[in-house]
Amino acid sequence: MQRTGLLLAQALDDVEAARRALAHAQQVPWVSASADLYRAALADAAAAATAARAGVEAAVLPVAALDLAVVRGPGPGPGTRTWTW
Amino acid sequence: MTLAPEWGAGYSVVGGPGPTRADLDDLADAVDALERAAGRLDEASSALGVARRAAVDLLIPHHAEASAAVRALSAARDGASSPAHVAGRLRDLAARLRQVVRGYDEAESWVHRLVRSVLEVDASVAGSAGFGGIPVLVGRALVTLDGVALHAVSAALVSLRERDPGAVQDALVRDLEDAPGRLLADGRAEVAVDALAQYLLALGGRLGLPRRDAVPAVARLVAGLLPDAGPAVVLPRDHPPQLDAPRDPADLLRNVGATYGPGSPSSAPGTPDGAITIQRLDHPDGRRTWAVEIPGTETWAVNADSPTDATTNLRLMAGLPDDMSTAVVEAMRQAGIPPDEPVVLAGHSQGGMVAMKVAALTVGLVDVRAVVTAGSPDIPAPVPRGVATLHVRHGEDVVPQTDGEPDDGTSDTVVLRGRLRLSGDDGLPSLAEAHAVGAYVETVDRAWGQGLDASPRLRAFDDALTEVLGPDGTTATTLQFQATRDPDLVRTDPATGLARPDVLRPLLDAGVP
Repeated sequence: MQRTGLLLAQALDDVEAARRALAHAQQVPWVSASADLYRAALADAAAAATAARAGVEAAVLPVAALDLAVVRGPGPGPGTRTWTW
Repeated sequence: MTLAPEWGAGYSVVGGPGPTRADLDDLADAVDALERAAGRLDEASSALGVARRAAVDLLIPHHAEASAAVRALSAARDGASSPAHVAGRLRDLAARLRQVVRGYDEAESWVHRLVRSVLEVDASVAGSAGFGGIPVLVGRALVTLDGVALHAVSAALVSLRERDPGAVQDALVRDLEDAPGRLLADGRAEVAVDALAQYLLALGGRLGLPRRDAVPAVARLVAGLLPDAGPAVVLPRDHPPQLDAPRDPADLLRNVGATYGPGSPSSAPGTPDGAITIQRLDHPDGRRTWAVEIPGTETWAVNADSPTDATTNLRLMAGLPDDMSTAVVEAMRQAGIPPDEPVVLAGHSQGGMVAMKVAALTVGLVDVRAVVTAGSPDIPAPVPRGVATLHVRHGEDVVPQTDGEPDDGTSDTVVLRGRLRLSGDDGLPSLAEAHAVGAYVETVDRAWGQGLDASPRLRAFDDALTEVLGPDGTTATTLQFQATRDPDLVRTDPATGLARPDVLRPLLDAGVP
């Protein structure tokens, strides 16, 4: 089974690449009101991509905890008694 | 995320200050970048989906950790700011940007240029082979033309084979008037006119490389065959209608519409054919400026009583002296326009060609600051540098395409191309509807309403025009004149009842062969 953390890292990489492409798309030397609207739309899009990255980053800790649990092996099953001393 | 909803909707602008069509490459790169970004966001969404399924599979052995991971991955993948959501918006923006690039590119796409050269070469070869070469030209025309437009060109060629030039005009006018505008929206008519002109030149034994001035050359040939139109005079009109002071290009064109003769729905009551409107604009600060408004073709007859006829069209296209341009200059003289008061010239169709010609004729005599044309083809006499010029052209209108040349802008000249048919609209405009002055008024009204006047390409023109039209509070006094070749009016001055001592002579064009 593919580790969940690796998939999440790939998603983060893709979102970051999209953000870089959006930054590149804003570099249009065209000068006009329409171009200003275009750049404003791109800036909004870049902000939305940043929000998307924040959403993906919010999943990093839970996914890392899951991966760690998988590495440690299966946890106690239902009804199993755990002794501590 | 807010995307620009009006961006490029139905309009394209060529010319004006700033970068030119070379920047289309940059815009195309921007489209690619947006699509690349959308693609990567889709991949991110897909990876999140796989990760979530993997986490779901671990719910039984690691319930607590897997539940938290599934919740977090679901929020990242399906939330309001999810990668898939942003990707959709980016594709929407890319699609709109691509539409604008396409709109600009249509003015002279490489395909267009290729088709033009193929047709020009074929037309020359077909012409040199005599009328027997016609099928070659028609065959090639099939590649670019269809439906009614093809029929019109074919009918014209058949008429030529039968050596009946009058039928050429009839066939073209009859068939093209009812053709849906979409057949011409990509400039096919302009290419066809150019090819036809090349063909006619080659018929005269001038086989060689395609000429860039084929349309004016053919117009000169045909104009040379017409008999002299006779003298024309310019008469002042008593009690002309007092038209509103124009505030923008749409108002100017509205007044142009009111200057048409009785056959037009936009005509002011009592206005005769051949009318010329001149408005004296008195600004609140005491400055005085002028607006000259010129109607288009009012009769398709040659050498008609009104010089707004086919003869004037032909001579304007040929770059030859014409009666209507001369009449407008004479009307400006009679109105008392001094050399130091700014003037704007506006015209529809033929009137736009006349406005361009008058701007060229009156250099040094009148301070022409701006020219507005609607539905007018270019003519060989260019508007002088420094005169802010706006050409408004509908993509579906065949008339501006009869110059056989693609639209081109300069730092002074802006071409505003409007589309009558936007996606989602019902029906298509006929050519007559696409060419109507009323439709052009609506197009400019809509463009100015969308704030296009403030865009950098149009801002310089708008500033120059506003300087002439003046601020709020500017008042207009409307004068009107009638240009006519009516023999009775030419022989006798109706004001005095006396015979006229002489007649107008056409002004010679500087720099026009």
